[in-house]
Amino acid sequence: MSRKSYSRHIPDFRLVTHYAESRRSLIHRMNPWTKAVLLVFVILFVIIVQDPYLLAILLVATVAFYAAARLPLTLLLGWYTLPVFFVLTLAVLFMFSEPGRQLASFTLLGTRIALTENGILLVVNLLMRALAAVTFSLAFFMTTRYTNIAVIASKSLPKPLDNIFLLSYRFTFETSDEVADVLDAMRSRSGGLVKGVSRQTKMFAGIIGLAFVHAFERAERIAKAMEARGFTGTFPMTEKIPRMSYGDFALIGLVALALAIVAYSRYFNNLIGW
Amino acid sequence: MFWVLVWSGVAAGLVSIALYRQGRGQISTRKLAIASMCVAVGFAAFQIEIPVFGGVHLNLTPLMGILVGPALGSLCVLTINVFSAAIGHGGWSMIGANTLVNMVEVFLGFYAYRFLRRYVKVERFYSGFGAAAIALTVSALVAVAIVSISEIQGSTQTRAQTMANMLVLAIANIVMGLFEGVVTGYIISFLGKVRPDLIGESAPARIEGLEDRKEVAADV
Amino acid sequence: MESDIHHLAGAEREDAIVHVDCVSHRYPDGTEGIHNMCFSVYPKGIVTLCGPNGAGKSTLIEHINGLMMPDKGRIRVFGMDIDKKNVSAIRKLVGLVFQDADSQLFSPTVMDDVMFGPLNLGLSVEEARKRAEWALDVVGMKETNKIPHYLSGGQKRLVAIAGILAMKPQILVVDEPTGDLDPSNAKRIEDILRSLRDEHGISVVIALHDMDMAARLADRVCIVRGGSVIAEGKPEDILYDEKLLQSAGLEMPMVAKLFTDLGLESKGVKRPLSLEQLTPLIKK
Repeated sequence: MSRKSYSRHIPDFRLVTHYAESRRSLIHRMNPWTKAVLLVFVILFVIIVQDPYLLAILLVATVAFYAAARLPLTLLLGWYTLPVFFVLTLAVLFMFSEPGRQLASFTLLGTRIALTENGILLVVNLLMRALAAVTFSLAFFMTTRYTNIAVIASKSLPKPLDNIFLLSYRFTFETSDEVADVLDAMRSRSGGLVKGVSRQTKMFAGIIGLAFVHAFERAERIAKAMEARGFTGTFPMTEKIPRMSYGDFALIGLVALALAIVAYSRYFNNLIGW
Repeated sequence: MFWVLVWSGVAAGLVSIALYRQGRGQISTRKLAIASMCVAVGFAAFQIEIPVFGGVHLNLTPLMGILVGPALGSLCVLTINVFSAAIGHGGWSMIGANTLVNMVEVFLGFYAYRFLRRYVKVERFYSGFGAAAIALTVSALVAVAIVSISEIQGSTQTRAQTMANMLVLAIANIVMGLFEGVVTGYIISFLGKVRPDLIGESAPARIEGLEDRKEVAADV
Repeated sequence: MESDIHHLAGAEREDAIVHVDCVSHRYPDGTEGIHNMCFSVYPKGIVTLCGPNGAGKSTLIEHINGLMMPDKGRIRVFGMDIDKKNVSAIRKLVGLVFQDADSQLFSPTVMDDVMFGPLNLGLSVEEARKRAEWALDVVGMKETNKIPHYLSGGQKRLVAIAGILAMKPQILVVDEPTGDLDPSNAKRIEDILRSLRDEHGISVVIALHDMDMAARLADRVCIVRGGSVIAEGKPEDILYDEKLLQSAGLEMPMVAKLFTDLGLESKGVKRPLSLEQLTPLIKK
């Protein structure tokens, strides 16, 4: 079975779980509910904050949180590829049509296209938002053990969504391996050198189809194994998350206050020189 | 913020309907395992970059609709969107909007495939292609509508300009959707030969719980 | 030598704890899984179901655990006829370890996975943890906080067995327990199955096609062919009947072949079932 990550640009849940289960930093020992609430706050900050300087501070804060958990920064940088790619594909057109001071312009098919200051700012802001959110969410998953995530999911998601979430989180380990193994097997027979769009497409379609067939058959076997061990629809919880401490409440209170100030400035009265 | 809440609310409403159709939270172990595997495979398949046209990643949401039906498929795409947001593909604030778009794909994928296969009697490849192409085209236009209505955060462009930009992106997505339609067609043909029961056709081989299988396929 | 082979399963002994009574099951595609299957399990013994792939062994053992229901016939477990209503009670008594250990391990850590069964039985977290620790100790698995995904094949099999053992079944049913394991892990599994019978009083049913293992482990051997048990008896009778084994697509165990080919069979000489039993006879 494959153990390596398929790509260093795409977060590997096996690696995420490994860091969550095996490390014991201060952030790892933080109450999972506190981290979950902070994740929600980060998302709200990302939605509400418009000012690029504030967004930069938010991004630095989330990276500092990640680093405080003693998680590898080089890994994070590799994993930034996905959100960067996502933002750029969405924002590339907007960059050239945003009104504002022109920095450069060119003609394309008879139409004048200008790169503006606001266009660049828009992309930079979107990037900082995306990177801040993904940094904190990765830090959350990489510092929270699965059993605690299970408790949070079971208390915050309706049935059977919580079970689907938890079981599929587990299954991503196996399917990542399976997909990687099939691709390795294909490459070992020089499959990657197959020429032609049609043959290439057909081959990859076969790989994906096979992955689905294996997945379905495995799912049927796992369902039987679960029933054979008395499963009746609810995953038993083996851990209780302790109540949040005063320190946790204080931290949440501080962040909530900051969020309130930012939100008030944005929507009502500019308190912070927006 | 307002539009995040709106799209999240609409998605939550539709997910509630899907949950209700799944029997008010009660789901057989088999369906649970299959739905979870679908999420995991869909998520893993996204990591595959097909080396054509510079590298293409697939949605596979219409395929998921064909395999597990619209209700269970809706729950699957919501879960995939949560995982994707966690790793930076799509944002947490966009889960509602993304789920809406994906639910359109799952829904149309299922019904278009059934219509083409059962009533128009088109062969599997073309039914798969047609279902995916229709689903992804409509969803691309739905995405245009959603973003045009709620606008890009931080942008000072007019709604009309935003819509024009989104239409350009939509055209690119529709073209990619046609490619994904071809891939889906090949996958459906493959499944039709190896496990026709997974696409709701003919009796399964040695599978316990045929009644569950029929429920999953005809999950209306 | 008087044969103690029953070519169709004979009358049920009174102390049978599982009795499969003329059970038939047809799959939805029309394939007959088992046909008029008659089979029994007795206390504190190891019975092996020997047959090639597709003979119906896996189908039978899934019936014993209640995962499949018969189309015809009935199955009694500790005096209860299995039906949909009492299936959870049956699963407390009959534990099933699947051939594919990967299909059984889906929790984030070894301890969590082994605790899964006891928790489903309604035990408290503390009680479930104690049971899991005991079961892992029985199978000799020490790495309890490891992620199952990263275990070796042998370790996964041990954890799968521990996961069922923690439910304290009275009967353990195992499908191909050593199929893809290296010799040292295979021996470890064999020793564990033997100790379950000897030290813990658990009856063990093993579905396999490895006749050497059947010879070493079994108190009773059943030959399965075409969805039915065609013969059952003591291993020294069944496993030395070459014609019978070949008719079922099986081979004699190496020990039996050597014993027969070397012409060591004679009156008063007990047929060996392991190399340890054969070696002194060769030396003589």
